[in-house]
Amino acid sequence: MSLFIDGFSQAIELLASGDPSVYSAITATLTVSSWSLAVSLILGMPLGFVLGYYNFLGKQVIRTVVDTLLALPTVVIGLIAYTLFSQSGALGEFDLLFSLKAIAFGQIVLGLPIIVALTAAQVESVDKRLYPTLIGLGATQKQVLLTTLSEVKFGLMTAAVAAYGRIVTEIGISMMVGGNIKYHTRTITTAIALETGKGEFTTGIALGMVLFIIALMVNISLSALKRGWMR
Amino acid sequence: MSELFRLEKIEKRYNGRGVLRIEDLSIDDGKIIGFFGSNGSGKSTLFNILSFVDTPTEGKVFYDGIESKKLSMETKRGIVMLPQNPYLLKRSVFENVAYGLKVRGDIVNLEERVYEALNLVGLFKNFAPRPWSRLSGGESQRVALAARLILKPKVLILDEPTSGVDVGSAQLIKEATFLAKEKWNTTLMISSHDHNWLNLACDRKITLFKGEIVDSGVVNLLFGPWRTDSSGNCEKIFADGQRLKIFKCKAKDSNAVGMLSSDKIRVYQKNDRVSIEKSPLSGIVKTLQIDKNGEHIHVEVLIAEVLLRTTIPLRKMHRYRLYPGESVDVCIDTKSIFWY
Amino acid sequence: MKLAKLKIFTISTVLLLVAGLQAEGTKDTTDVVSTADAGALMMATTTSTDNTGLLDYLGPKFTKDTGVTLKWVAIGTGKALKMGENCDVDILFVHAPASERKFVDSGFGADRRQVMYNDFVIVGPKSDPAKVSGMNQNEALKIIKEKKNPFFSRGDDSGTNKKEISLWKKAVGAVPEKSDWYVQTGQGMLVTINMAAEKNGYTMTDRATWIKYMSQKGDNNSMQITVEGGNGLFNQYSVITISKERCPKVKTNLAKKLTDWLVTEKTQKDIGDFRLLGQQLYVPNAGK
Repeated sequence: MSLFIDGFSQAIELLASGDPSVYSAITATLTVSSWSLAVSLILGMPLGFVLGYYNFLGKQVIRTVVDTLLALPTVVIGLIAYTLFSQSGALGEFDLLFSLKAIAFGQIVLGLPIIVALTAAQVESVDKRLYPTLIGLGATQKQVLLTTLSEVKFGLMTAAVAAYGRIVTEIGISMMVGGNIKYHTRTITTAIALETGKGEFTTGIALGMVLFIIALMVNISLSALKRGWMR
Repeated sequence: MSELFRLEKIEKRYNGRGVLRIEDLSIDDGKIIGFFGSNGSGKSTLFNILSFVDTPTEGKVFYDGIESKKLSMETKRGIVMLPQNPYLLKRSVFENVAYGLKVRGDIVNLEERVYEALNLVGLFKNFAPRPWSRLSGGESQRVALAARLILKPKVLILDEPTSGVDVGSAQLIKEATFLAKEKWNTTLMISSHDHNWLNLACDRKITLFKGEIVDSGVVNLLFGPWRTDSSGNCEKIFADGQRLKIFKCKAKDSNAVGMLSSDKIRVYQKNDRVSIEKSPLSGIVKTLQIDKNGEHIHVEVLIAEVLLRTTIPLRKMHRYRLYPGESVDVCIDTKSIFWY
Repeated sequence: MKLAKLKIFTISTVLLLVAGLQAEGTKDTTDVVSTADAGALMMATTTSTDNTGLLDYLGPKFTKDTGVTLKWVAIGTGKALKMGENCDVDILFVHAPASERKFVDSGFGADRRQVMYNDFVIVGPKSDPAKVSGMNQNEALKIIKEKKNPFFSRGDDSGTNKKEISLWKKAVGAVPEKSDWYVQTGQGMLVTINMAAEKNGYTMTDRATWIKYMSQKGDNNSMQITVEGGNGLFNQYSVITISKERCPKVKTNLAKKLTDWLVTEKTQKDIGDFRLLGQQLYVPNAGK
């Protein structure tokens, strides 16, 4: 218990002192996770819409594949990304290994199936009257897509929160392709792993609390957004 | 008078099951057409095809002489449908009403036009910011109608617009609908269980039954159970013990539905000498309603629990002194019954 | 208007994120702690140099002297060598001489130079349950095996792990891998010492990490050095530049800068001066 209290007071101390390595890890985490989520959403929502909305040959197969990808462990994604980005790998020439971009790539692989699967489920559950209503009002296919996504925005927000939770807390990818390089690719989770590895448990807990605070802020601002919509 | 819609050999099937089959149907510009038919008669499917929300499995739809596939988005947008139980977007009333204009990119004086459309259905400016979730059934229906009226459509298709709404809303909906007709000469196609309304308002009536057009008028349905005897006759026994006997009955089983056009039902004064020969049924006049041109009267007669509709010339009503509540003889031309 | 506030909030959040990424884009060259701009050198190293804080101590000095930013991935020596083979790093800073020689001989690396050394020690509970304190490593390991006293191994192919395996082979002929008292943690050195302490076991560590461990535990330390000073407990650290012939993209010039810098008298002195709890962690021995 004392470890926990020490961790908490150290968390506040760390944040207050403006420790550059801590802020660098926070910035790296926020930056890379936000980009990963943004790309996952931009790619995942239309794909999820197509998967949930249209009927086509092989739809069930794709759904099964997407659902299976949900269970992919982050270390496996990290390993695959490493073999791709390594100089001896297929994408080695782009020099992406040990960069935030490489982490973002892995995290998109992690987040995309979540967004696709949950968007598809949301779109499938949408009121059957929506489509004839929108077409009857003169909407084009693209407008149908946008309006449908807007109709299920609460569900999509839950999907985004779920994906963000998985992205921001993952460690396997960040460690494998980021390399946990101080001031560059060290994220909060890899920093926690490092500090734990060094036996600095209180620092680990402090960083864990920072991660928790980030998650809290994300959820608070999202529920504020939700209230704004509900009005 | 120009032809607006033409349907040729239309068939619609869902998973191989036929739900609509129309050999030929033409609808003229600027008319009000009433559609009769029970739930599942194919009305909604026909409306979806007419509004280009859905396409028929087979056959061709022409609009203004052009085949549906060649119609421009712009032309198609002139046809607007209010579906049965319309869906409101999870947005404010304002956004719901403005949606159609927004997808058209036509947002000049948007606010003003939204308020104007709301006024048409008896709602006011202060209603606009309300969220979709805080509307009664009648208000939702009126908002949905306002969202269609704002588009000043060339054709407005209304699928049961007054079902399940309060009396006040129903009245406002009816008024707004005809205002659209007056203002923009909109062609109206309406389906409703409110037969009085349709009888009063429509230039033409189309009846659908099990996916087919059965009559361009009012149709009565006779439900079983039918008791068939060995000589091929059948009869229906009404709740009050009266019997309707049909010789050489073509009912395929005891639950068959017989369909009878309104002009095959005649009403006479009680014990009129004409009717006695035809072994009439005894009924009570429920309602009398004058039709649009003022020459005919729509009569609803109740035989035990079954309501039948027919039309008589105005002078016959005077001659027979038919008034609601009056007992009458009802003669049914059983040979003209269509069986399903 | 509430909604307007919300929009401002959302927009500012987005702007912040964008600003963050742009900062990331330039971060490759401009460091948070340095303003140097002569490129970045990628190094794979053993966990001990990172865990003890030596690299955090040397890194900024190197950048200050040469303008080169030093980035490092701290992993076991085995993994570091593998990354070198894959051309994913420019230089290695490792401590497994036998494997290193093989690595250089196979043409993966070049310009291997000794930088510093310390020694390995076997540490165990102060209560010394196997009663092996003060013995040499061969006897101590033999008795630990006989008494089936818990022993914690890194089990991760790191330099320390390689060393420990060689000690077991020398003492009892084989690594007692399948015995349940022999625990392979698969974790870093400090975690492994912590686990040994929690479970009353012995483990082998480099002295630098041991001093780091003591400095962390302070009065709560329940462990002590059980075996030290024996022949064959020597722990040599070296740098190896990845071969340009095998990996054309390797920044050999920057790697040479680091190699040359590490063996300068000034840096060697700095390494010698790096202390924890008043104790020297590494002994510089470049060129010796």
